[in-house]
Amino acid sequence: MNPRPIARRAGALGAAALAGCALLDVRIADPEDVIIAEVQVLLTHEWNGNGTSFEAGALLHRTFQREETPTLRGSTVVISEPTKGSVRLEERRDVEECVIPSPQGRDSIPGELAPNAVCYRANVALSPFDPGDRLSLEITAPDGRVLVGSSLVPGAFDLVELDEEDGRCRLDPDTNYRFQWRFAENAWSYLADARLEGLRLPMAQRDIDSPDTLYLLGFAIDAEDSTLVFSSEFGIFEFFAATDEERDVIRELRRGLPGGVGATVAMAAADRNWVNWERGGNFNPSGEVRIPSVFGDGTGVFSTATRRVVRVRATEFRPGAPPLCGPAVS
Amino acid sequence: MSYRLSRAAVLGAFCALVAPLGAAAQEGAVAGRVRSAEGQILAGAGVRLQALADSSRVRLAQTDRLGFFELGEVVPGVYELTATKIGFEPRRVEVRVDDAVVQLELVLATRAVELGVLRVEAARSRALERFVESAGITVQEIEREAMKSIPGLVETDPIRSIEVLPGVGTVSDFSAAFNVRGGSADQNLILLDNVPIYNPFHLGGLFSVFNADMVERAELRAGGFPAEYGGRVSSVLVVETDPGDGEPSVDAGVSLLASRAAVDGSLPAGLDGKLGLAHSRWRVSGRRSYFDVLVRPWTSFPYYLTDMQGVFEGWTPGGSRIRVTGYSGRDVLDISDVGDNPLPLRWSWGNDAVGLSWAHPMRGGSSMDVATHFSRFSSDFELTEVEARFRTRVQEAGATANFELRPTAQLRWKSGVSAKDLGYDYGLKASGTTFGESRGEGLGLSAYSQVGWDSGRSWLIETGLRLDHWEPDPGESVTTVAPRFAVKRFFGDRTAAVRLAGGRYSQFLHSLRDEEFPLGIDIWVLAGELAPRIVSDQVQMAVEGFFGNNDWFASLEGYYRTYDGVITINPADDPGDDLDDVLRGDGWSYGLDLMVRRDAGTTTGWISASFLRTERTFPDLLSGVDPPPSITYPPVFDRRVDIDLVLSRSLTWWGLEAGLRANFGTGTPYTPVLGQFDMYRQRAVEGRVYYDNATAVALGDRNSARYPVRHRLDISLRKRLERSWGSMVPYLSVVNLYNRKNVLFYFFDYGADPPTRTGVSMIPLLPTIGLEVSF
Repeated sequence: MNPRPIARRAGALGAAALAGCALLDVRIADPEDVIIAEVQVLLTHEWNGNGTSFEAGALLHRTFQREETPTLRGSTVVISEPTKGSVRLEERRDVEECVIPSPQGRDSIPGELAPNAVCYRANVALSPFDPGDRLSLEITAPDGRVLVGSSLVPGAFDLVELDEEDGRCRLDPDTNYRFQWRFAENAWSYLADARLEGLRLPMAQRDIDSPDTLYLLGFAIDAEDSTLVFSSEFGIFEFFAATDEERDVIRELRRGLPGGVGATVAMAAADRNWVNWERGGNFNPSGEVRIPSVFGDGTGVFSTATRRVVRVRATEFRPGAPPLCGPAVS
Repeated sequence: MSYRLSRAAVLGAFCALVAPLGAAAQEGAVAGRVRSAEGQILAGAGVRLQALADSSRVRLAQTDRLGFFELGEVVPGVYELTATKIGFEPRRVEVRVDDAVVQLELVLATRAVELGVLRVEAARSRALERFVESAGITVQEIEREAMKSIPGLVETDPIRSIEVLPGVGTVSDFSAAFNVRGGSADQNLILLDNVPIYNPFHLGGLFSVFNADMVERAELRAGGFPAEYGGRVSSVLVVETDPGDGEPSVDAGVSLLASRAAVDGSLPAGLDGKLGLAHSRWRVSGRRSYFDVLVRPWTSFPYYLTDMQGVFEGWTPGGSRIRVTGYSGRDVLDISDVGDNPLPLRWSWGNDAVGLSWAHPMRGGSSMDVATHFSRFSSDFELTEVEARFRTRVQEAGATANFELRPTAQLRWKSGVSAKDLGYDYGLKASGTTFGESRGEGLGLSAYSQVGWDSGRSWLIETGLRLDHWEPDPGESVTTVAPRFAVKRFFGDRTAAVRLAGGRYSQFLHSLRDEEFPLGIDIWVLAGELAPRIVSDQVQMAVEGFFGNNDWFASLEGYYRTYDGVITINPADDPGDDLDDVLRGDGWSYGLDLMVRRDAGTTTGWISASFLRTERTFPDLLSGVDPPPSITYPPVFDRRVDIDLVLSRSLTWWGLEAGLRANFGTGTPYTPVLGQFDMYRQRAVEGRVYYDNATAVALGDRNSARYPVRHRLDISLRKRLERSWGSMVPYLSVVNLYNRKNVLFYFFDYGADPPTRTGVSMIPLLPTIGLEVSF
């Protein structure tokens, strides 16, 4: 994998500071109307032999427009595999079924910039598709524009040396646990996405004014790196955009998960489309360049991942509590 | 086409290359060596042979870099031979020539002359000598005094000074990195006394690492390289250290960037003798930025740079020259402990280099030289809070040996071998995860042989063959067979010519630096499993000549180049695949370079005009299609027209020396933004996306738009003040005198109503002052 020189961010700041001379605003032509499709498929391997569930969401929006643009409502979004059939995603009234409204308790959906975003979803208890399948995407907008894409679903993977009960386990307060997994075929990277809840009270006891819920990402990208320590190795990406309080929380979490805090940790083996869209392309001063996997009359991402979900709580041992996830690590 | 040969074939070809040529002089000849009374070899000295019986029979020659000259096919008779060199008394001897070679040893006594005149004359005589002796290579030289007269950013910069030469372009004012004739910046070999310097820049590319007080001259070889040159495909920039004149002296200076001092002298005569030397000289310098020290009582400033450079040159009684060059420099940016800084980081980068060479002259103008060097560049960037670290390193150790023979006055044969061992690594780790890592090594073996034939009047022909063998680890060995040729047809009194040159060139390392980014450092990788080698086929043709008593020089040169095996960073690489970190592509360039230069008179300088077209072809990752189709586009250094005017003039007003640099050129390409959209990120734990409070861009065709015309006027004023203890030169330099807002980059805002485009300009009006002191 190529180096991602964080240095260039610092270099950009340096260049801008040295330039010290802004050019005046110039009015430019209206932007092109480009449809953006963000389609995400998750195959979740359920615990206790309950098979694989299928979850798909498609957020259709478009480049910022000044004028009223034709709605994307009424589009068709179909995911298919030649031998296993297809799933047509249903249009939802509420865009929040595709978008988390306030992931860190402070951001919001910029409705004024994307007024026409439309959400499509499908939730199927027993997945019609399997890990390793190559899925196709076809989106047809009401005005006839067509977007297509393709994704190779990563193989199934197992978490190893995890002691759980129906996907639940516990940590002793202020300790960390090392998640370990076996490799999934065709996975480009492993994401450990955690939603931490119940932070406010334990953090207040440490004089930190914390939001109650916090999302933190852990990332394992190297083929030889199949472990990730929870919670100390989570939050590297959030750290730079965090508020001072959130930063203090992330620092505290490096010591381990505070008592009373619960976490839902999704370990996902992500495909190439997912990784490319998230990490971006070459430098552009006007915004992030995203590497698409949807083409045709628009752009976007068609990503797939296989997932295991573990619910972790930091608590002392008590009868009826789920088992200890595993040995604590410093 | 396969470029691979077996090692046996390589060795066989090598033996054939270095096999000696047999030739013998047929007529009388005069040959010899010119040196100073102190034993210093005098290169570029004029030698004039005039028949006493017929004063119209005159032959001329110049000494080569080791002080040798040879005049062949001399009709038997009695002659007066005169050796001259600026700064020395002429030496006249009577010579009786028969059918053999007369060998002479001429010693010139030192004569005091005005230094500036000496340097101009020396530069001019070198240019004339090169014009007469080299068939194909395109060379432009800038002496230290000329560098100092070119207005510059904060202080004189040897690398920035070559931006004004024809065929040389830059992407922005912020980067001293340069592009030559459509090649990328990593295709320029930068040598300090023949020691390669990787990423020779301070402040992320804003200034070069070379201290102008230590530089005698910079010479850019922009194309038409004979077989002795290898390693890079676009250009060779030779920065030659000034070892001083052996007399103890100090040059010091202070600018808004740094303070510096250079000291020179010679070894005591007794020590010279003990070391087996007839004469020696040395020069060392140090430079450091001082702003952090200046503000330390009140606040902390997180950045400083340092560099040290030294050279020692010793001459043996037999005329051999031993030279040692050393350089060490470092930049340190440390904001790991600065207040409430949300991004605590430490960044340190720099170069270390050392070179040792031995040049040995032999009778008849032959010579041999042997050199060895070590050079490394490293950078270590650390985000201390999150334990993220990005490091990169490249290092090279090498040795070369060259042998030059002049069997007859018309023939010149040169052969050589070289070996170099390179290694690189880079890696980005954060919070226990490795985001990217690569390392490799390579052994390069080269051999060449070239023959030059001078008809004596109209024709100069050079031909040669070079073999570059590369053994990477990991990777498969490859060999490039690189033929070279050059033909020059002189007109008039050998002061005008048409020349044609061509050949194949190869390169076995690349930089992954994103050239679209204004500042940055090189991340070097070697050809091998990860990246291909670059093979470039080039042809060029020029019309050039001196006129106006040789005070003026003009040239017009056209060229065409191909580049097979160029790379760029792959932003869509598979994290599990170590071999797809780069994208492989190819390209081409063609253009026309014009230069008119005046070397003598009260006003000197030149005007250069360059026309360039270049394109690159790479996989188009933004197509969304897998596998991606190819896209062809002009790279960011495709500046179609680039005109520079450089003037230097002694003003009668206050005895000021004035310098002017005007640049005018077309804008460089950029990728237009067609629209923007909300940035959502995928959240696996929810199966939904979240708004990331940022915008992403929908882009048009790559580099299909261009920034507006870029132009700038810089001036400088220098005043030499002679004092009993030495001299002082205060100077004022003004960059971008009329405050032209050249565009560095645009920001598009389609969220505004109406949509707008703002931007950041390059360097605005920037006056700087400084002081130089010599004693």
